[in-house]
Amino acid sequence: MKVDVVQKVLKANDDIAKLVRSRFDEHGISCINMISAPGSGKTSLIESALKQGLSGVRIGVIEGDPETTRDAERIAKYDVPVVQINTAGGCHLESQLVLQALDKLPLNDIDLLIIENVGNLVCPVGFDLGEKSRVAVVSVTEGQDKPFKYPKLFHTANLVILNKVDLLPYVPFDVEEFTQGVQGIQPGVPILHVSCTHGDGISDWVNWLREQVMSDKNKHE
Amino acid sequence: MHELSIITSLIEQVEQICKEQEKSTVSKIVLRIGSLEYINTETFLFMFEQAKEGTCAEKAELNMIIEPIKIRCRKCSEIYEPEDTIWLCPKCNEIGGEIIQGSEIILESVYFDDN
Ligand SMILES: Nc1nc2c(ncn2[C@@H]2O[C@H](COP(=O)(O)OP(=O)(O)O)[C@@H](O)[C@H]2O)c(=O)[nH]1
Ligand SMILES: [Mg+2]
Ligand SMILES: [Zn+2]
Repeated sequence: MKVDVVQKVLKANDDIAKLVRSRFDEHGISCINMISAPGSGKTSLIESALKQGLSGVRIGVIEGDPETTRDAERIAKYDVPVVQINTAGGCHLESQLVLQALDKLPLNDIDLLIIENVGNLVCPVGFDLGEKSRVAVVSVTEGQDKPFKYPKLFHTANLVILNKVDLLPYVPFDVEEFTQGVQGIQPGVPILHVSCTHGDGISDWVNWLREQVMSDKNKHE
Repeated sequence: MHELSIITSLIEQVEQICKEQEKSTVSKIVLRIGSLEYINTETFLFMFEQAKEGTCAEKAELNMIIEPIKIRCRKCSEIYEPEDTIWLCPKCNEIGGEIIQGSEIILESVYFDDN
């Protein structure tokens, strides 16, 4: 006997993501999911945004890592609510883990929730966390072929950040080929050139974050 | 290794269907796997063989159908399978579009022993 099902295998994750999204709506929170390889600079980007400040926008952070609370400790120095999720070796965050983390955050005091996913360009992509926008981060030391190798991430990203541009004089990285690769998959997606160590592009990054919150606020009013 | 999460989810789904159908043994599972999902089919099969033990899928064979990427051109709506990682419409040369196939993993059907 055959039973036709035709159902997404990650439906359970999608269903919980929907629930998470409705919690965000309830509390007027805009959520950002940051995806990159390990070491591209996700934590540094969050730190840079916190350092600069978002004038009146209250930030919360969820840190996803296989082990340790090191990233959460880095963020806690800025005196913002932060929850560390350890995936115990798991290569990506799932909506269930985010749902649990919400219980540990003061949701009424957060306008912008930044989730730093586990460092990985493949696994996090298929798992909706209930976010409003996705940010893909690549650093110039990783090579310009990333959009060609990981098209789905770049197709689903709302913002692409090219980080560590201060190192461009020292490493062979073809910015034009990278840009073409990203545009070939998703024409029109914004690409920011950033250096967390030198400060280039940080104000663009902060402005983009602020826009995410403002567009939601407009919707509510 | 997102394969493991996917398999766990798959087995939960199959167990649910078993319950609904009031069956105890699944003989075959058919999965459609989009080629944008980066599933290593060997790893996937290996992990499935481990994970199915002690479940209603214990005796099940897994049939994986790999689906190529299909894009609908954002300008002329032509549907094509991109030949390159730059999604270039063969009809009008526009770049980019909507993914209409190849980015999902779908449980297509489940077969049960008839006795
Ligand atoms: N040269 C340079 N190094 C950076 C930059 N941003 C981050 N780093 C360094 O890259 C390493 C990894 O950064 P981190 O933010 O922890 O990356 P994550 O794993 O994506 O969170 C750290 O040693 C940072 O100091 C940058 O713009 N330029
Ligand atoms: Mg980090
Ligand atoms: Zn076309």
